[in-house]
Amino acid sequence: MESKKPIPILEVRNVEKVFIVENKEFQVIQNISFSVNEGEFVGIIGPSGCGKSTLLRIIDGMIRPSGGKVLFKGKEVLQPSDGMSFVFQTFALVPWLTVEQNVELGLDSLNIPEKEKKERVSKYIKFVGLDGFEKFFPREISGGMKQRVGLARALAREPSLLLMDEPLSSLDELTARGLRDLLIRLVKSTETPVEAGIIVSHNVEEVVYLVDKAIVLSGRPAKVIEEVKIDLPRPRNTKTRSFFKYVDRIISLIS
Amino acid sequence: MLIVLTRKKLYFFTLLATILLTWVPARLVTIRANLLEASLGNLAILSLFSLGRMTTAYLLGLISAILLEIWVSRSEHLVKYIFPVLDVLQSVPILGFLPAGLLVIRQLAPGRLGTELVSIFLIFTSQAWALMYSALEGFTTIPSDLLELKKAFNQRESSFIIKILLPYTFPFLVSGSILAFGGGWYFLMAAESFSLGNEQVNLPGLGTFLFYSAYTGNLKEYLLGLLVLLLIVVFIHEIFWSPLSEFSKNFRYEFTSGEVTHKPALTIKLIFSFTKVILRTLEKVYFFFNSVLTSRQRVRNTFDTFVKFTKIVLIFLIVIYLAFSLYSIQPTNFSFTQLQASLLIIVEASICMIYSFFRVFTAYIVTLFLVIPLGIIAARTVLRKLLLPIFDIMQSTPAIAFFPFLIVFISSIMGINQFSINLISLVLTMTGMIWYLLFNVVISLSNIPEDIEEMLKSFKAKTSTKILRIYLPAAAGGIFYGTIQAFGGGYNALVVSEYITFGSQVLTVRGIGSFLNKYSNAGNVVALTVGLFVFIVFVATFDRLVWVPILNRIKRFRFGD
Repeated sequence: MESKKPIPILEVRNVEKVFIVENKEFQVIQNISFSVNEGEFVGIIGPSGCGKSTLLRIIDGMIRPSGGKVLFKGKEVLQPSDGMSFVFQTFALVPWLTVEQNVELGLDSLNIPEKEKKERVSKYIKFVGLDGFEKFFPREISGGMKQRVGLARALAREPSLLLMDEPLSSLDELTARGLRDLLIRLVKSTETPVEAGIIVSHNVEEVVYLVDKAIVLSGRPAKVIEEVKIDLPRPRNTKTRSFFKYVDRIISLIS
Repeated sequence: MLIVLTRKKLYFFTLLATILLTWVPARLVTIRANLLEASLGNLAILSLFSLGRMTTAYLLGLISAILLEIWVSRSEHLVKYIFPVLDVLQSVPILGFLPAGLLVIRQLAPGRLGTELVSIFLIFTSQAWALMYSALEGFTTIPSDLLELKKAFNQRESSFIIKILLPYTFPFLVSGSILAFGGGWYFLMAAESFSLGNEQVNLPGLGTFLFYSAYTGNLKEYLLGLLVLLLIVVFIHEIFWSPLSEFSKNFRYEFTSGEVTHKPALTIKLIFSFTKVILRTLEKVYFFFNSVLTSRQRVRNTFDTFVKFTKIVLIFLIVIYLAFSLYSIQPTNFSFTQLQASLLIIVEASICMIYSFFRVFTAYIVTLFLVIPLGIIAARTVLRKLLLPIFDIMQSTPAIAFFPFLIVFISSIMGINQFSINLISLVLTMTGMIWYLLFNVVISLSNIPEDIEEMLKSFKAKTSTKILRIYLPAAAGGIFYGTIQAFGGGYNALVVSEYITFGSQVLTVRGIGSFLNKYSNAGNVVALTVGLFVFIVFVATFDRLVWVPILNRIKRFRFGD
């Protein structure tokens, strides 16, 4: 019997997106296709305003594409699903709910008993390193901690695919560094149910540090310029020549 | 400087002409005996009169609001005192200002001119507070980095006011203007046709027209007048408020990129050029004074003392004048029975005040329960596109014009008895409160940050969760700002909701509104003043002791310490 190649966990096929604002058409995404396999950490990188965030929202199901389709585990994405979780650049935390309550909000759509919800909330708050901060309010914690709450909320759903929209762009460099390894751990290790992850970023070094494959996009309207496979062992050393070569490569592709 | 007829000046003069055209006919056209007859020509002239008064009062209110804002921005400590004062002032019902208005204004300007000025003053008192509140709301929410900008670049005061403070306040002033103008229409009838004792004043205008057609039971005329009123409201909404609102979106303090600049409609261009000319002149004047004053310390000190002295003298003069006027109305022989009568009046006023308070409070609770679901539906569902414009227009339409229909409706179901009259009174009071609450709730619900909206969509939060955990707490912010104004609106509505003229009938319930009406009709200025005094004391005390702590609790929950 022939062994079939496993279907990719995510397939983006000829996705196109046009926005209509005050009777004018803006083509944001022209034609994008790529796939994400199980165990892969993929990065989407391109110049500012090129539609990367729109693409991620299309993948999540928040926005419908004008053309083409997105397949998640073989099925077309028509609306957000329980198998995917989104992490926001601006954290999207509700100011008057505690850390605990914010994480719990992510579980709202799942049909699991209350007891299990509480267990998951507790487990993933500890996982991201916020043990003890359950009753704090967002305004009482730092930016890095806020994003950890966002991650805990996304993880509590135990998704197969983790979608991250510039998760570290609102944080200072030092805090961001502290979180990068956590992101790798979330996607690549077996400690979480997450099977694959997509990160959108405009920071080339960050992408080369994190991902297995970088989808390099052009300016608006966005197209895939190239898929760059990053074949470096982890943990990656940002000071090696091969690291610089990848960074150079991607930067020259964008400009 | 060359005198050139630039486009700006053309706009300026066009706007000036438009304002004059609505105002001048009111002065020049003499009243014909049958002016109140319902013919299209008459209605047009009457509407012009009313519009002229409304516009004049509105402009006065706008200027006062801006001057107030500038004053507050210059002396930081004033912020603490200004809100309590405004709270009380805006709660005073329109009739409360009648004695003061008549006394002061009519002594200064006798005859028809004086009466018109009193009418404009009354309309002013129903509009100015909304404008002042919105100007102050603009001032208190100015982002700290704009303030730091001023300090860091050592910006001139006048430049800061004209280039930063006023443009930032512009959107708030626009929404405040919509509320203010609507408030003016609401009390148009009370402002054009009032009586003080044996003096019945009826100024030609739409308000008086509606009043008399209702009084004589002429349904056809009443409906015609109502139609004209609605047409005017929609017209003003389309020509002024709607484009202004769109245009004011350019002045929001936000970081979104990739948005389109809202192009100004023609009216806006006119208004804008007009304001620019005025502001430029003001800036030059201001700059001149400022440079003169700051150039020499001694000149500045003298000027400061002079201003303080003038303020004290002015207040002193006003107090003396009022006291003298009051005294000259009182009979000179003071008797014990007079004192007894005065005390009895105070007691009566206090009892009426308590009745009125419970009425306003009940109206508030009922309104709140209505407004919250209505606000959620209007702001968060697809009905938004339909409901918001309707609410906008309804907000400008005076509910009072529909009172007769409301009364007929309720009385046809339960007849006219103590209970139904109280119910009618309650509903009528609510009409004066609902827009303040609804407006603010809808605004807070519309201001939920976009990333939270996306998050709720992505995580497919249940509707019950959304309402309980997101929409209600978000609305709490709007309730905070809307409640004080709603109570003010409720108190204001009392003069028309507790003393209801229904055709030739008068339905009354016990309360400060009917108290003021009764003594106004009897010509008892002393009783009116007593009633006003009792009212102010009650509202101020209640505000500080009960309301403020509760609202502060909500504020802390919603906005954080």
